[in-house]
Amino acid sequence: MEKEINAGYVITDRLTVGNSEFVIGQHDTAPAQFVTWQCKKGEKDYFWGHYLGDRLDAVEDLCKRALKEIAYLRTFQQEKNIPEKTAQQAKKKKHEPER
Amino acid sequence: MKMEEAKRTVDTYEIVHAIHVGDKEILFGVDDTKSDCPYMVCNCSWDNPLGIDRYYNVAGSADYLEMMTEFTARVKAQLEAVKAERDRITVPLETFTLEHCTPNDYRESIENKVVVIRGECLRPECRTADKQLVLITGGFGSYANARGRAVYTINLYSGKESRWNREDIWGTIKPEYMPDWAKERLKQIQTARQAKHKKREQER
Repeated sequence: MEKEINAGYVITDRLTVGNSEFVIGQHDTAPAQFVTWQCKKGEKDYFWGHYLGDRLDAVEDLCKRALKEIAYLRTFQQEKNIPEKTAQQAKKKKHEPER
Repeated sequence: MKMEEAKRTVDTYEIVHAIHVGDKEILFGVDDTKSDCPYMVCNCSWDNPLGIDRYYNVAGSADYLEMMTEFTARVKAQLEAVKAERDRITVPLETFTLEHCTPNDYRESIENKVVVIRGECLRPECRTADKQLVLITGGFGSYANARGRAVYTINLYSGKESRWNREDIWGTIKPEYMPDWAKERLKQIQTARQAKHKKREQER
């Protein structure tokens, strides 16, 4: 498979969370050898680069970014579930026989 | 290469994410046909003399976010393990380059010699002397004018046995660049191997 290169950095790792992707780029001769970027799923417009000098730090940063996105999606899910539950409860109440 | 050819699977799960840290890889697989458990996370290591993939510690779920959390947690745990291992290393961690070696000459045998593994064959976090210096113990690739590629090695620092290809080796280390710790470890490894060999001979 062909290597994907962005701004001279070879994309070595990729994580997808929801509609976001997080990648690690590696450039052996750049002052900062590693970078993590975000992009929209399936697109190649990378943004919010975090430049780092060590691969372990880059992997850690990648995980942090992915976890942040997971937390965001979880909150979004919960917010979505609350009105649904409330609606369901309201519906249930409606069906309860009047005493 | 076509995309289909590059697909990696573990059981029926297609590996969509794989992060390699140190001596372990954390994998995230997807199998959409398994409605009850379409997402899977497992570890992979090659901690055996033949370097064969070994998958273990498998977890599955129908919740993508739950499995992604598990995946990142495992990657982070492995990062900590690698950092801790690095801190425990007491020898200088400089990287050996081609200038420290007598380049690989395929007309000569490298059996029983201390060689340097090419930096680019190791993960960036492993390009250090403790990972690069190995003793060749055999394999068809270690002979002069060999047809085979396999070389079997013992890591001088850790004592771990591994398999490499001949082309993964830069060459034999020049004696003037051999660190003292490596000389000491080489003596210990050779003594242990001789004792093992003697024991085998006696058993016959």
